[in-house]
Order: sequence, then structure tokens, then C-alpha cells
Amino acid sequence: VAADETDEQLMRRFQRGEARAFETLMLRHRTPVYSFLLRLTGERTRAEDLAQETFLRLVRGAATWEPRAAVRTWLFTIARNLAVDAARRQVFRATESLDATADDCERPRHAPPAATDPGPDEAAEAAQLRPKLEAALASLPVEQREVFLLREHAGLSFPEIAEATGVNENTVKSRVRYALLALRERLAAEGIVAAAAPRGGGAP
Amino acid sequence: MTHEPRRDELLDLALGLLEPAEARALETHAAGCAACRAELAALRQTREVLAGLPPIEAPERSAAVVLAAARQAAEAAEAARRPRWAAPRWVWGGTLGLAGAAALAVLVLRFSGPTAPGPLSDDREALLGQGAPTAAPPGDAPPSPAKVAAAESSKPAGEPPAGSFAPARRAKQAVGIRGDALGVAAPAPVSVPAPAPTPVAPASAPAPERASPPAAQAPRAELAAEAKAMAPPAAKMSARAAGADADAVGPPCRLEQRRRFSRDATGRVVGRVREGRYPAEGGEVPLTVEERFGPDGRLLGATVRAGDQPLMVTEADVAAGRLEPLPGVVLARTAAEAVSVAPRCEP
Repeated sequence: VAADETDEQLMRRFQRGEARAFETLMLRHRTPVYSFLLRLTGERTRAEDLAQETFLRLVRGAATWEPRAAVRTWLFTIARNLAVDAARRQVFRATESLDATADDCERPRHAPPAATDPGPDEAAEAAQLRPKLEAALASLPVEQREVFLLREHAGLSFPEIAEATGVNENTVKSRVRYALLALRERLAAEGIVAAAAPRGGGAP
Repeated sequence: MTHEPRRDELLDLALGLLEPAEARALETHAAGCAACRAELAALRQTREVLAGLPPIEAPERSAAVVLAAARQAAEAAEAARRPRWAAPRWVWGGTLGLAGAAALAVLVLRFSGPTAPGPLSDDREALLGQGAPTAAPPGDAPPSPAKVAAAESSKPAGEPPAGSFAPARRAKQAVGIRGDALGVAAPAPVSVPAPAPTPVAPASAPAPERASPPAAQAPRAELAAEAKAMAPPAAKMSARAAGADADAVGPPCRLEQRRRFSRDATGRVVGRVREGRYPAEGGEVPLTVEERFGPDGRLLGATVRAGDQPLMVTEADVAAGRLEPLPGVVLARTAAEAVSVAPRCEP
């Protein structure tokens, strides 16, 4: 299985019975899907469960998948819908989510820093910045957060996000915009970016 | 001049979605319009800052259940693909209601013990978390004779079993090789009652190779030696994997989560690779232990990587008995030991 194969090629191979193709597909998307779910739900255990369920659904749905549908869009649609369903069953606990993500950022993932890592100052700065960014993201209303993550982290297009979230494209676009402006305000309040210059047309 | 900023377009511009000509036109406008300039700057700057947020790595442990499911689905898909008639729907996880005698035969064969490797393990990888079917390093057996046999036996009776003899022969051959390599006598393929009607072979077909179930059963005995070595964690994990219980899937063995053997053309073990995690300051690092064995089966040397630093274990080290390059990471003196020894889980 070649690493440069498209998701769709891998999916075709998997449909033909090559489990390794699925493994490659999963390695490729595991971390993006998990990150998305963790930032959406704010709970590590839940994100992990949902990520696992997302891929299990991909396995189960593989037989009926047709090459017209982009695998990534499908994957994130499943993930998003699972998260929404889970959230319906249990209200998000915002405070816990902040703690969880902040804690997640402070702990280095691989203890011995590689030679290419930034210098101590830079690393320390980044280590301080990350929890703040995570917290800013977590402070967004969930409908803004999901479109922001789908657009900026998962790399889905506006029409794809519209399909995944079931709202129209214009709504998706305005949510992304509000998300960016709200994030900016939060970052400005934290002193991470310069305070916003007066701008015309606030968010209605 | 003041106006409401063209928000949609400014967002597209900030996200880099506009055509070059459109982008230039809007940039030119924004340069002379304070409101648009401010909005564009705000969007761009925020985007840039947030882009510094790296993905959060997915924990390793949840992968096993999914990969086990993928492997089963793939095996079922491949088995279903072989017969000429349409693939039964149930193989992809639908209902079992439609399963006839032929379909049951596939199931019985698939769950009756460690089957030969499916595609996931064709590089001879054994992920412990995948449960019993993959726990035994499959070696050089042909891709899944059990699967082939199952597919063949599920053909409607009367259909010429084209190609159904090859798997039986190949399986036997593999048994012979493995028997030699492990010093275990190859078991005689005793006849096992077929759970489904055996395909009717043409009159000219050689009789002894007609029945497929013995061919499918043979690898079980053949793999027994290695399966035994892996038994405790594998058995524990198989229940978890099968149950698909997310909470129950923990890292079964820290130091050794995967074990893989490489063999030469004759089936002799010439290398073993173990992958796991090793405790380090502030967390855990990936651990890889690669052992190399000579033609006589003795350890030639090894490479141990914990995190990014490789540790070389040379022939001199081996000769001097320095076989524990890291606390708890113990090298096998011989290939036979590598195959038979149970995984050591904690330093």
C-alpha cells in the first residue's frame, strides 16, 4: 500500500478485501479525527470513544461507499454527527473541557525533544500559548467551533461543511467568520494579539 | 467612503479561496477602505495564530479494535468476492438471517481458531490487540488458505471448483516448511467433518486434495508453537477486541505491543521486531527492539530505539552476555527463544 495513494484509492482496495489499505487510511486520519472530536467535546475519553466509533462506522459502511463521496468528508461527517448525538445525551461540561485540553497541552507527548525542536525560549513560549489557544477555541459556541474546526483543521470546503452539518453554505460561512472574530477578541483580551482596531460592521 | 464590508468575499480572501483576479481586485479595494482592511486583517491574523495549534495525537490503544474489525470485514469481502454469484449482504455486518449452509461454513471456519493471516498481517505483523486470529505470527503461509477454502466451499454444489486445489497444496507445503523451521513435526491433515456440503469435484480431480476443511485446519496446528508463546496477552485481548468495549481496551503490554518476525526463504526466523512504549522523563517514548539472528539461529546483534536515540547491540555485546540494553528490555539469545518466550511487559 503506497503512502501517496488517495483516500479513495485506499477505500477501493479495502472494499476488495485489503485490510492494510484500511490501516493506512486510519493512520492518516486518526489524529485529525481525534483532535477534532477532542476539541469539539472537550473530553478525552469521550473523544477517544467517538473516534473509535467513527472508524468502526467507516468499516461497516465501506461496502456501500461509492467513489463519488470524498472519504474525508464522510469521515468527519460521521465524527461530527456522533459528537452531536453524544452531546444531546449529555450536556457539554465547559469547565471540565477547559481543564482537560489545557492539561493535554502542558504535558509533552514525547519526552526527549528531537534536535529539530525549537529552542527553550521558543518552546516555553509555545507551551504557554497553546493552552490559551485551546481555551479560546473551547470558549466558542459549539456551532461555531465545529465549522471552524472542519474548515481550518479538517480542511473541508464550505459546501462539504454545509453537507456535514446540515445547514446552508451561507450560514456556514458566517459561522466561520464569527468564530474568527470571536477568537480574535479573546486573543486580544489575553494580550496574544494587538487589540482590534475599530472596525465597521460588528457581528449581528 | 464607508460601506458595509463585503464579508463573504473578505472571508474567502482571508481563507485563500478567491480566484487570483478577484483576490487582486478585493485587495486593491481593501487597501483604500478602512473597514474592509480591518476586517481582512482581523481574519487573517486570527487564522494565522490559530494555525499554530497542532493536532492532538490520538491515543494508540483504540486502534486495535478498529483494525480487528477492518480485518474481519476485509476477509469477508474477499471471501464474498470469490464466488461468481453476488456477495451476500451479511458479510459486511448486515444480518445473519440470510445465511445458508454455505455462509455458515465460512463463519465456522473463520472462528474455529487461529486462521491463516489476512491482508493486515501479510507483512507478518502481529498486533496483540487484534486478538487470537492474528496473535500468532503467520510466517510464510499463503494468504489465508482458510479464507480461500471457505470461499470455495461456499460455492454452490456442482460449480466447477476452479483453482480450489492450489490452496490445499500450498497450505501443506507451508506446514512442511514451518515444521522444519520450528523443529515441530508437521501434523498430518486428519480429516475433519466438513460443516457444509463439500463442493463436488470433477471426476478427474485427485481425490485426497478435494476436501478443503483439512487444508484450512492444518495451519492451526502449524501455528500452535508460536501461538503458545503469545497466549496469555493474546487470549486476554481477544475477548476485548471481540467485545469492542472501548473502556476495556488498555495497552496490554507496555514494552511490547507488536511483535513481528522476519524469515528467510526457508522459513527460518532471522529477525524479530518488537514495538511498544518505554517510560521516560515526562511520559513515554516509542520503543522498537530489532533483533537479528544468524543462519544457526544465534543472536547476531540488535538495534534498540527508545524515543529517537538508537542503541546498537553488537556481536561483542552478545558474546559478553550484555543482553539487556535498557532495564527490562531483554534480548533473545536465539531465534527459537525469540519465538517461544512470552512478552515481557514492564521494565
